[in-house]
Amino acid sequence: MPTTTLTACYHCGEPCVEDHVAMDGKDFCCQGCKAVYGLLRDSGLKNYYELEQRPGTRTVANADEARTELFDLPEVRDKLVEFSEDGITRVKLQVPQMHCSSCIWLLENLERLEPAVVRSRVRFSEKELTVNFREGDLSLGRLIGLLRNIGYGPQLTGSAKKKSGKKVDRMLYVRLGVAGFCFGNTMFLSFPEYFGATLENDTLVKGFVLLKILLALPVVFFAGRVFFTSAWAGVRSRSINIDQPIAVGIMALFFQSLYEVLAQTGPGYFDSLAGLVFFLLIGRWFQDYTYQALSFDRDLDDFLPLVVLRRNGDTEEYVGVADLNVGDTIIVRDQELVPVDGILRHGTGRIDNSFITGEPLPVRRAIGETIKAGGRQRGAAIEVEVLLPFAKSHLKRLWEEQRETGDERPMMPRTMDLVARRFIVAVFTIAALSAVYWWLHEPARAWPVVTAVLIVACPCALALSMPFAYGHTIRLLGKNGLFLRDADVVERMANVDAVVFDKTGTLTAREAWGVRFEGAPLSAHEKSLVRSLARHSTHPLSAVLYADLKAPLADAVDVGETPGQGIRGTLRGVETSLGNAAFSHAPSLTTIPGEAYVFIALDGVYRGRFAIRKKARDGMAESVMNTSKYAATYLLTGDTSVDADTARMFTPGNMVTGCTPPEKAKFVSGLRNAGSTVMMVGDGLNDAGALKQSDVGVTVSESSAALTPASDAIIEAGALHKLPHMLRLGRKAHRIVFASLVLSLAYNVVGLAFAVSGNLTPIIAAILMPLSSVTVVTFVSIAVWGAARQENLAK
Amino acid sequence: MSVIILLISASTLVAGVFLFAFIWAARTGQFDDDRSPAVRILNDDSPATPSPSKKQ
Repeated sequence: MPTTTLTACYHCGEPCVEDHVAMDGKDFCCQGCKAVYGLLRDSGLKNYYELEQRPGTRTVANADEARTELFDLPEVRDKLVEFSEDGITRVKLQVPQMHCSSCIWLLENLERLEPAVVRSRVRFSEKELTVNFREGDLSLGRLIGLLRNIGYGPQLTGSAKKKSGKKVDRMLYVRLGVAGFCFGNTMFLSFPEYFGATLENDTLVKGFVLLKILLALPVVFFAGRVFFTSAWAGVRSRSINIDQPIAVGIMALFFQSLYEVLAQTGPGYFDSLAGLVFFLLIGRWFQDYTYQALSFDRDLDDFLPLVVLRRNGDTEEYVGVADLNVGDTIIVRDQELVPVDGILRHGTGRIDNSFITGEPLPVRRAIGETIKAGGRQRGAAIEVEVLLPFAKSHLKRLWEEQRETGDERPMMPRTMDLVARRFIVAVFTIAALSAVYWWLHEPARAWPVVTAVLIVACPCALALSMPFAYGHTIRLLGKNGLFLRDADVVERMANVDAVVFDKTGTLTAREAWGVRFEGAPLSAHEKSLVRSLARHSTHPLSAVLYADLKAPLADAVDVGETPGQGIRGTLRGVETSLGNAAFSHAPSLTTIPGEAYVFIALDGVYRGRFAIRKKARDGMAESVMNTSKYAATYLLTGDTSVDADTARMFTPGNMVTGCTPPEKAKFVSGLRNAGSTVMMVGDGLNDAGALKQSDVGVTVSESSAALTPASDAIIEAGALHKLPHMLRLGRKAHRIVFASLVLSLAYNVVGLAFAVSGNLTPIIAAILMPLSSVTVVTFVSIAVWGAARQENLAK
Repeated sequence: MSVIILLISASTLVAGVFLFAFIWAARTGQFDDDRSPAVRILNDDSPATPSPSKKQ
């Protein structure tokens, strides 16, 4: 618990508690941070602290971490190593902790810390670190150990080698470059026409026109190809999308210009054509921005340990999870994941199912009881007999259910495509009507007018407004801790009218607890005894007590912990015990579901008990209340009851208790069938089905390194209180798109007026098109930024 | 007039060279990561160990 005067840790910036450590006149929140500082200082890497303030990440014992010596086993090493030749080995590692210039600097200067490192390179956008090192001098395990020591432990999971996610589309850059080049030069070559030169009186202009045709070819057939492919895909699936009128416009522009040049009736619209394609490609590039370092899709393999320790009689060996057979005995040590369904054969199981359910308090399992795959052992090593192979485990079934339900969700048509449909109908009607009119009055002009209509009606500004509005929104939300998969998610988010929250792990934090003492209040002296003893225990509840009690620490002697029972020790001459009821000689007391108890005895006499329950996140109640102003809010929980604090946030009828994962998914699809657009906010794997069923599935992530189920969006736990504002920004972005549609339609109407009257000259087209694109883009950018400012999301 | 033709072809040629330079840069992945190269330039060469050549 932070004290009144907060000192920020020199290394990681976390607040320092009263018993923090100091070195060189600098304050550190923990020994870990101080150690990293010392290591960097001694290696001459103090620059790390000068590039940015407090750049470190707190080195917390990460539960996902396997022992470093595991990485030196050949089967594990081979999974990770990318390349090994002449004693130089290269590995690519995911380091999600990197976040600033200092991180990049330190990670690229690893050779100063460890001479066996030859070269280390960071790819920041993918949070990827590539290290070349001499394996003779440094084992892979020690390299990983070194990275962990400085707070950049790589994320290593069952699938080990990271499948490369969506890479930046390099081809799009090339197309942009080509279109830009051709646009600039065509514009340049069109200048004589802008000032009145005509084909008849100037041979130079004729040469220019030929050059322009040459420049237009790559614009249409290379740079503009993306629009034709997408339009054709739409035709084949018998749906209308925005790229179809664009493709028609490009073709009309190109062939009309070609015709005019060959028939020597005019210079054509090559400048407008190149400009159009260039602007549209910029829109594409802006929209395609994605968070490459985040995975929205996951394989179950990502969650599994690299290897498990199997016992064969008296020998132990490491094997892959898939190689386990029914009846094998595996050893699961402290902080390790149980990868299969099994029966506990030896030891005391203290299983933390937070990965499955979000519930952080471990469940006790005795010998002979079953343990489901996906639980994590907290405490001494246990031996588990494999009951079902991994492929048939509870975890795998949960995962498959999620995958199957995932495909059923029909995609909502995008607003843009709906608009495109009306647009196409309108354009073709106008083209037909004006053709008829001119056919009756002046047949020779009918065809030019039709092409002019098709050219000017090309929904360029229309097609730019959405990418820019949603692109900006994605970036602004990302800065605030909500990462969306793509621009379509913004649109679905704008329509959300029901928000479903999971309770455990979403409304309640993994690390926020409410602690109450039952019994005569403890004196300061007694509190000090309890806190000091709790410090020696590995049990999570002890850690809660240690953090919650505010008392000076005392030395403890004769400390003994009985796993699964409690801890006992002598402090200041008082024999203190913390543990379960029997351990602390407590009378039988009533218990409330959802609360865990720590019983206290002093000198063998029961003194009272601490009741510990999960507490809602800070600001969560307000966040839910604010959300309920715009959307119906629901609560789903696997617990049998809802505590009073949580119940106050929701309308009584909107809380469903005792939900199994399939029931959660069914509830969400029920809401959708009733016509709601549903956002589901959840965290554990048990919410995965519901996340998939919802229109916008949002996963809560406690840290950027955490593994989350597949979803449309990932929200940082600390950003949850901003959720109502984020929802509102999504809605505003949607309205801004509509406003810009009106604006761009106004331009189209003006252009059409020129076109149907047969007055669309190349110079008018050349002015009108870029002008409409630029105004729409400017309007949208300013409007989205303004909306974000209103919602306090602009940074 | 011929001087204009010369100028036009020369300028287009120069622009073409830049276009190809850009295409080469894009295709070799120089636009893939826009953050770390900007920081890399701040890296001092350490006095203790000579820094290996910073080749991209």
